Amino acid sequence: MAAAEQQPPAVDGGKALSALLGGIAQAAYYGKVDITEELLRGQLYPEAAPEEFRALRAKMGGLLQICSCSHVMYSALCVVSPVQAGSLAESQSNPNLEIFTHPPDAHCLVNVSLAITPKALQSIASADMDLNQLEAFLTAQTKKQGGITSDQAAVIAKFWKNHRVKIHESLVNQSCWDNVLKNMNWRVDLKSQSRHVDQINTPVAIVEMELGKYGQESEFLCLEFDEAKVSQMLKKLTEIEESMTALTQTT
Amino acid sequence: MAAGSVVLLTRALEALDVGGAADKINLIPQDFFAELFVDIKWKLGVAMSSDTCRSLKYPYVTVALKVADSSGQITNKCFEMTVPQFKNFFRQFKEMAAVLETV
Repeated sequence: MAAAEQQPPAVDGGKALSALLGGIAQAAYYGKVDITEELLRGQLYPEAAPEEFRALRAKMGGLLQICSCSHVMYSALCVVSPVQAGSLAESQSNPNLEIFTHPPDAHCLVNVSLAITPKALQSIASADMDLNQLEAFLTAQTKKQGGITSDQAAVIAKFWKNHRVKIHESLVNQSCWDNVLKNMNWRVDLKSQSRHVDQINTPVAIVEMELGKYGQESEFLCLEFDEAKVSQMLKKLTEIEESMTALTQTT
Repeated sequence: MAAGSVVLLTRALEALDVGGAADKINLIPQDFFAELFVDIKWKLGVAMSSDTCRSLKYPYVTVALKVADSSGQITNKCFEMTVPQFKNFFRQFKEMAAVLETV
């Protein structure tokens, strides 16, 4: 193979890998068909040979597929330093732990989802484990035959700590199939003219609400409230708030 | 905007000024056709579990806004809010009340 041409310097290793995952996700999950392999290679790994990059891309794509099997788009891959990766590789008892390093001396990608089964990771998300539950769960996994090491458990715990809220939010939104209030704007006008003389100089609130289902077109609702109607609304909203407080206190 | 109100409006405008009713309609701000808020009904629920997540456990409130259009017809507009969404909704109306008081 001929020597590599002079190319502009590659993006930092860890960032390149993140960007690659992002690119794969865009193409595979969000329908951006113009993100080709050649585009990704040129932008992120210009000094890599095409076949080499193809293999890397296929591997990453496969991993993302495993990660998204619970319909949640997140990466169960953690970026660690080469030293951490080395210690994980030495201490791990699971032959399936994969460490991807590209370029060779940059940050490494540790595939956590293969170290424990994808199902176990799915269990964590499905159960929305808190830190105590997670610790107990991971400890149990380390004691299993062919399970994870305590180093891997630490990596997984770190990942879950960072991603838990976002993942849960995503799951919450995915299970909402009715209209939601996507946006709300309002202003207060002063009625300067009216058929009814007594309405002159009465302030009125004009509220615009954007209603719609997630991922679908919105309906814009424009409502008019006078002071009395706003008071009425506040009274009802206070009732709701009291109910919510009562609910969170009992659970 | 209901078709009926356009007809009424056009007639009213024609009575005021012989020509140019179409132009005058374009000058009227969109919210002239705002609907009137009549009432709000609500229901508080907790989503416990779903096929993608066994432990959802999030409270949400479903509201039905009763609104009346310019012809007096009543419709219900329904939507859901999670706790943070509701808190924001509540806060906006409190701000509105404060502004209305000062105007």
